[in-house]
Parts: sequence; structure tokens; C-alpha cells
Amino acid sequence: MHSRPRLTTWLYLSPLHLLLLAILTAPSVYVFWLSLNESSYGTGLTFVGLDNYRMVFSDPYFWRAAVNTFFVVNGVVYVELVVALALATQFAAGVPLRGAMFACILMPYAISEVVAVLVWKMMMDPSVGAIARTIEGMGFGMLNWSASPTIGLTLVGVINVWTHLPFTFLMLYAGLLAIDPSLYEAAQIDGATRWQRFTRITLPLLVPTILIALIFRLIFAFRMFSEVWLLTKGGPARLSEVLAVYLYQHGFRYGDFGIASATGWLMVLGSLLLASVFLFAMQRSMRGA
Amino acid sequence: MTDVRLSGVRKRFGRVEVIPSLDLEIEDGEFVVLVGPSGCGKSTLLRMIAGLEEIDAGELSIAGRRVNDLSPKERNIAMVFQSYALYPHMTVRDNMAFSLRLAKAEKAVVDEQIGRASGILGLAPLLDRLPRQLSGGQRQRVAMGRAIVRDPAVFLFDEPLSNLDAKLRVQMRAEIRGLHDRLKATTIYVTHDQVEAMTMADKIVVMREGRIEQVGRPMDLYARPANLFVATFLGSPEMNLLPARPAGSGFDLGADGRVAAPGAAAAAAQDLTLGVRPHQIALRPPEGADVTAAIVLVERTGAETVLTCELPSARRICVVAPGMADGRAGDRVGLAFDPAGLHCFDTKTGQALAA
Repeated sequence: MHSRPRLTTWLYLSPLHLLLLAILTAPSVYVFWLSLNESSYGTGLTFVGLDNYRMVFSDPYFWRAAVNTFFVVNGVVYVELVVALALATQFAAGVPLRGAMFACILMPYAISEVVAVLVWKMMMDPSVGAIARTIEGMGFGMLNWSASPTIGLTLVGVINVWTHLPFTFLMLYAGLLAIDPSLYEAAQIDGATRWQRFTRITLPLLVPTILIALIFRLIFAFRMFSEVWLLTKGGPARLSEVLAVYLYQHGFRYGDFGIASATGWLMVLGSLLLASVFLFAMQRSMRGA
Repeated sequence: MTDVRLSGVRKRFGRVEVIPSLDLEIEDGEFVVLVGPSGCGKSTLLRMIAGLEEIDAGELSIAGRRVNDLSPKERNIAMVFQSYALYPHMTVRDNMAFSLRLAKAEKAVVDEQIGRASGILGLAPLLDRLPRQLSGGQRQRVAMGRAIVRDPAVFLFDEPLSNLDAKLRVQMRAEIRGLHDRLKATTIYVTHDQVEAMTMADKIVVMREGRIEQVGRPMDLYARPANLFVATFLGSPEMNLLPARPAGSGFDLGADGRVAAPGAAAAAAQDLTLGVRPHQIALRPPEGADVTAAIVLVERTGAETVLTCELPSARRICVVAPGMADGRAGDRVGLAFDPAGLHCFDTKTGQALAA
């Protein structure tokens, strides 16, 4: 009994598609349309073709923001991965006061990002901040992050790692718990040292988890905004801007939704490009090994 | 000479004493099966021998050398795990080569050892596959191959067949025993399955609550169990137990009648427990029989018939008759106990009495 699917059949099957269409596809298409027009806060559209993209590409501030984003994202993601991996292995091996330690590690996730950044900002204040004063007291000099874009962005990276560590930690910890403990015993009998067990059993078996964590974190980090905005506002002289701040400046400071939309689309393409390396690796590892 | 000796070995987990104090001697080339219900400490004992669990007190020696404080690899043992514990990201070849490569063996040696092991186990066509591309039986064989390549002095098996289906289990049972006959290495095998213990072992060690209940050759244990626990643990269906007292040249079963046992009078007229295996009871016509019962359940397997019968005292007794015996639920039958198959136990202590 084959009958052609009717309109009602499609409607029954489509709530998910309609929802996705409404909240993702339609806005994306609209933003793309905005990026092809000149407008003021999205009103009074004049079609200009790819002019907005041309302007973005010829803007040195855009390139500065892109380079900043690239370095911060890569630094943050890999540093966080290493720290989270170290913590997760410790946890999987067993730590005293496990419950309390677990709560400590997860805490940053429970704190609002804005609050977290403002607290860090206070503690890093060169004249009164506890951490900044300690660092200075230890003889490392005054950390004037508001004057130096490099120090500023490093601080941004540290805060970003601090706030997102729980995510990567949880992913890796879950991945570690999924490894059959008898593999380690077999390896022990086969004569593997602790380090060999880590490099030859844990790491290869954790690769799929690591790839997923990396993809998520790359995409999250690519959208980084509040840390930079609340700390330096992209200064001094727009030198510490990242792409999301660049977008915000053009959209809401200068009212140029065309440039902002074009930047938005370029960010989507950029993060896809970065993540695709890992997506590709993941697909290959799922098919092959 | 690779004998394994345990003397006064103890283990506790926190406040729980898993193994109070245990002595055991395993001779060179022997196939020893540790058997017992779950939680009896047999796996813990095996893991202590492997070096995966610390020994709290006592001494463990392998080939005359004290190994308490040696790491697993220094003990020259190999272990096959219940879950096989094959490295999922390595091919069969790499799984087997792992220990040799860690020991920095030369490539020629590695290849030769893998060739030998895969020849013995028929793994040659599977060497480049990953564990997940293998069937349960094949994985089991790879796990054994991984053990063989190391040429260990002692093989340890931890319930290696419990993840296999019944048919494969029977096949692998024979294969493991065949492997032992060929390699003649000392083997310690843990299982909760008494059939595995009976069919594979040179020597069975029956354990309960961290203690050894009895040690001996399978048929000796079956024929002369030292106590009620061993008597009921080995043999399937399990041994029937009936309260009895000695009476003349036989036993008085109270309401259930009496059992003749010429020349088997126990010394004292004490209360005892009489044990008899289901195979050693024969069906007779009810007329004139010393013991009569009503059939409650008949189970036919083809080769034999298992009858559950109810005695006048409402006690149940199991009888195994060869072939397809007659009888259906509700029938009355007479039961004849084979005098040679009677076991007497002290009811209080559970220990066997000389019959």
C-alpha cells in the first residue's frame, strides 16, 4: 500500500525542520542579505553587492582583529586541552576529597561570564588588584594590560580558559571513564610503564573525545566577546580587538549593519574552516581505526 | 620448574577481610582451577598472583622466588581477562606484539613469536584485523595469543569463557585445555562454573569466603567431598541431602523410610545428613520399595530424564534416570539408593564422616 505522501504527512514530520528554519536558517539568510546591502541599523537597504566584503577585506582593523582572534583562539584551545587532560587523568586515577575537588573545578561554569570577567578585571587591576600586586611583588613587573595589547589578549586568554575549563574537563573525564580499566591491567602485565600506558592506551582511545572537545571549543572561542569587551573594549587604539568586537563596533557603534553582517558571515566561514580540520580527522578516525 | 606457592597469604579491602590466610601449592605444569561462588575471593587471589592486587601478608613465590614486591611484568606471568581486554585501537598483530615491543625485542623475534602463536591458535588470517571486527571466540583466541607470545612461566585465566555462548564455551574449553597439554605451562584458571572446573582441571581448588574448602583431583572431589559445601557445589543437578540416623546396616530416614547400606554403619548413632547424587538413585516399582515418592516434575533432555519427586515428608529429591524413563507428574515410584554412592556428613559441622 504505497500512497504519495500528502501535505499533512510532511507537516507531521516537519516540526523540527520548521523550528530550525525559523530560528536558524531564516535569520542566517537575512543576515546574508543584509551583508549585500548598505543600511543604517538594518533600515533603508540599498543593494551594493559584495562591496561590504570588499570594504571589510581592505580594512586593516579587520585583519588585526582576525590575527588576534586566530592567536587567542588557538592558544586558548590547546592550553585548555592540556590543562583539562592533566586534571581529568588525575581525577580518573583517583584524588582525595573527590566531591569537593569536583565542585571546585566546575565552579567557573556556574558563574556568569560577565561577573567572572569583572572579578578578574578587579583582581588584575595594576594598582589594587590582588593577583596583579602579587605578580608585581614577585618581581615580574607591573602587568599593564590596558596599555599592551599582547598582555591584554593574554589575560583575555587566561580568563577564557578559566571560564571554559569545566567544559573540556567534563568531556575528557567522561571519555576517560569510558575506557575499560582492564586494558590498563593488561598493559601493566604486558610491561607498560605509567607513561607508556598513557601514551599508548589512553591517548589513542581518547582521540575521538579530544576531537569533539576541540571542535566545540574552537567554535565557542571564535565567538569570544565579553572578555575583550569588558576588559579593554578592544583598546588601546583598536589593537586588541577580536572579530566579535569588530563586528559589534561596526554594527552598534557605527550603525553599519552591512559591514557587521559581512563580518558575521566571514566569522562563520572562518570557524568552519578551523573546525573542518578536526571534523575531517574525526570522520576519518570513525571510518578507519 | 615453575611451581607457585602461597603461604599465609592475606588480603583485606578496607574493613572487609577477603582472604583471611591461605596456603596453596601449585606444581610445575599443573592446570589448577579455582572455583567457587561469586565473592569467594578466587578472582582476588588470581589478581594477587598476577600482581594487580597487593598482598597484605604472607608470601607468594613463583619458581622458588619470592615475588610479593615484584611488578606484574617481572613475575613472568600472562593473564587472560574475562573481557579479553584487547587494545581496541590495535590490530591483532599489534595486540600480540605489544609486550614484546615494550621489551624492545628485535623485529625478527617479534615476527617469529607472532607466527608461532598465530599458528597454534589459527589466527594467521586475522592478524591485520581490529578486535571489533572479530567474533567473541576469535577475540578470546587473540587474548590467549597475546599471552602465549610472551612465553610466560605461568598462565592466569580470569573467567575467560563467561562472555561466550554455551556452544562456543564448550569448544573453547577443549581448546584451552588442548593448549595447556601442548605448552605444558603452569596454569591457574578461575571460574564459577563447576563444569569447567571438572572438565579442565588437573587439580580443583574449591573456595568459599576466602577459604579453601577442598583441594584435589576433580574425580576425587566428586567422589569424596570433604564437606556439604563441596558436595553440593560440584555435580549437576546437585547432590540430594536428607536428614538421617544410622540404624543397623543402613540409615533411618524417619517418615521417608530407610536406606539399606550393608557394611556402612556409622560409628555413633548420631544425627547426620545423608547425601546421594541424583544419578545414584534408581527408579523401582513402588510396591515393596524402602523409599517411595510422588513425581512432581519430569524434564527430558533426550540422553537422560530428570525427575523431581516429593517424599512423604514433603522433602524434594532429584533423580536422574538414563534415557527416556517412563513416568509423569503424579505417579508414585519407588527409589533405590546405590549403597556405594552414599555420603555421610555431620549435620552440625557439615564435615564428611567416614562411611
